[in-house]
Amino acid sequence: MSLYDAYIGLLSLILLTCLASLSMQRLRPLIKTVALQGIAVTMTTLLYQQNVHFLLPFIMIIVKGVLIPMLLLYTLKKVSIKSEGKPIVGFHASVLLGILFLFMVIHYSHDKLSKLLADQSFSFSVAVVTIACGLFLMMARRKALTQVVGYLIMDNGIYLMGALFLKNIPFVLEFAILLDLLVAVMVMGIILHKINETFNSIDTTSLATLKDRWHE
Amino acid sequence: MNNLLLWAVCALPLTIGLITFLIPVDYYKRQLQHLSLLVALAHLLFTLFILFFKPSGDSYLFWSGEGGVLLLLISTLFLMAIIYLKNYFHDQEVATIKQCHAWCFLFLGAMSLTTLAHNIILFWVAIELTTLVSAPLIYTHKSKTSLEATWKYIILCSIGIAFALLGIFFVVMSLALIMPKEELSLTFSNFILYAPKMNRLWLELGLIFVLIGFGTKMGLAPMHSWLPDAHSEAPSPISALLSGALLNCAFLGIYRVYEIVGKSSAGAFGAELLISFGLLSIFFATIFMIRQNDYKRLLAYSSVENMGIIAFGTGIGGIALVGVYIHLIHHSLIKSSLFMTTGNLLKIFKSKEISKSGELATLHQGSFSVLLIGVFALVGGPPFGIFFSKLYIIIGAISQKLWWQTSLFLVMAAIITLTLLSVTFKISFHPLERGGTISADKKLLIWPQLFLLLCSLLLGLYYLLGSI
Repeated sequence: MSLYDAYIGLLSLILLTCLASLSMQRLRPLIKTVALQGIAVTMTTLLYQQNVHFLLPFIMIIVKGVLIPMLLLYTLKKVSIKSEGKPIVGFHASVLLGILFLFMVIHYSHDKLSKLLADQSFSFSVAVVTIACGLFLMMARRKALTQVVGYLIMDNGIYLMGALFLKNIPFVLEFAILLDLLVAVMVMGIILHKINETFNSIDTTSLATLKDRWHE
Repeated sequence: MNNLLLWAVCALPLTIGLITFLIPVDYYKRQLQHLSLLVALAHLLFTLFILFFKPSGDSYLFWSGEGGVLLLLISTLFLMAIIYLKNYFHDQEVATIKQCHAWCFLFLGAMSLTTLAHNIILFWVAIELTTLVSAPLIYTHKSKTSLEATWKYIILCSIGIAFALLGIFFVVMSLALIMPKEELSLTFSNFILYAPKMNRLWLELGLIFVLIGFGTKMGLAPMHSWLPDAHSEAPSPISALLSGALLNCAFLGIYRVYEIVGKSSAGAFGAELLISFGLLSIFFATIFMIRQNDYKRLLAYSSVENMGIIAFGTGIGGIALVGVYIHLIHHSLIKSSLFMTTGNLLKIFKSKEISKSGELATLHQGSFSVLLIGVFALVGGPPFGIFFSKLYIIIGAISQKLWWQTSLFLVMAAIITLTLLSVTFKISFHPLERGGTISADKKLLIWPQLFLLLCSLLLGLYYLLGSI
């Protein structure tokens, strides 16, 4: 197996985790899928970039594959909710939309952008699909926790895109980006916990009271 | 040595913020408030040193004119907000006050970092940090509605800022195409240097994403939906900081990338984009202000309008850019002052609704005068700074022959002026149904607001004398 094969394999794995996340109703496996995706993204970055700081992959795997999923699983346990319930866009429809979008992006980037992207058109498509998948999850699901997961998937996609383009971000900054992500998930987790305490559910439908009120 | 100053001004509030979390809860309230005053003063002192020495900086932090101005503004507003906060929170629990102060320090540190960041990625990290540390501040009152506002704020802004990162990657890509990998440096000055040769497609794509991303944070329509919620639910001094300091930081991100685009072949495209976003924001704000029944939301939408004016002016360029700088400074000073005044109104009327407030002129003369002067300054009454900035932007627009954009701008400005003035008169003189709950506390503060307005007035007079 050549390095290129491993690379393509990892990208396919990322695509699969995206489609899987669209189909999942239960939240525990969803979080684990994102953890797997985070690890796959880290490995891709490793294969793609030369001379990365030797600590970076370890830190990335710890943050994306262990710490963030653990935080989310802990939050899940606290709010004692197991599944998504009734989503805004159904699970089967989501997967179908995902596959359609995937075909469109691959076709377009191969057709129109191949000149600009050269040999990176597949990885570019994977990154775009991952970002779109994350965004879609944030909009098409009702549970606040799924929205956090969607944010993480989107972040993975953006990271993948960055790995394509940027070959030498200083180590400190890569670390800072990861730290930001970790803090973001922590703060979101805390607020999520508060939402559960206050409303007795983590449905975002209960978060729709603020709006403009007019006077006569 | 001088570069150390740049690091110190960011590190000081960040470190003290983290330490504050460790102080035991039932430690003296008064000492905490002295500490916050001390931090604010030290930050201001460091800022003045930086403005005086103009340290050259390194590849992470640097001194720039626009960054320096924003830093001074942030520092001044923070000092005033802390003074107001002390008074505003006198009846709150110590634990709440402690947490609020700790997050405030972190917020100050993160905002300072954005103004001084030299590396484009570091800038992004700092902006994301400002979102994360200001979210708990919005939740200070611990009500259902403030929780909702916090969640919307953190989710929408995080998505937005993630998009900005994507945009930044595209901008970097357009530089990476023309530079050998080993020499690629991600500092803003390096981008400016190579801007004319950068790849146009990636740069345009980058600007779009940065504009959507940081535009969300800055409150440009149609990504502004978090802004009125967050501003109306946060405690008044925090709203003042959000509106006066944070929005400017997000604008700095757009401005820095636009500066690169402006020097490249994609300049005209960028200008058009900014003008359209600007006008759209002014339009949205006008629609939502006309019949608004919540005075804090009204001011929040006014921030959307003013951010629109700033984007509009930046797109026009030339003399309008001078106007943008003036507008930025004075909008911050005046809007912060007004948001603090709404804190007084809230304590007097116990409601944010305009229809449930009135007779301010007899209830509390101090708040009445700062409200009246503030609104007069905000709508562009001379000789306050906003008068000059709007004038410059209009002159810039006319000299570029942007006729219909200018007329649209003027019509919207007129409608907003009328709306704000009529609301002010309603709050001040409209007869109030006495329920016995309304009474003016003697402890309401007005001098931080007055100080900010005085700053705006003196600067305005300075322009006036300068132009004669």
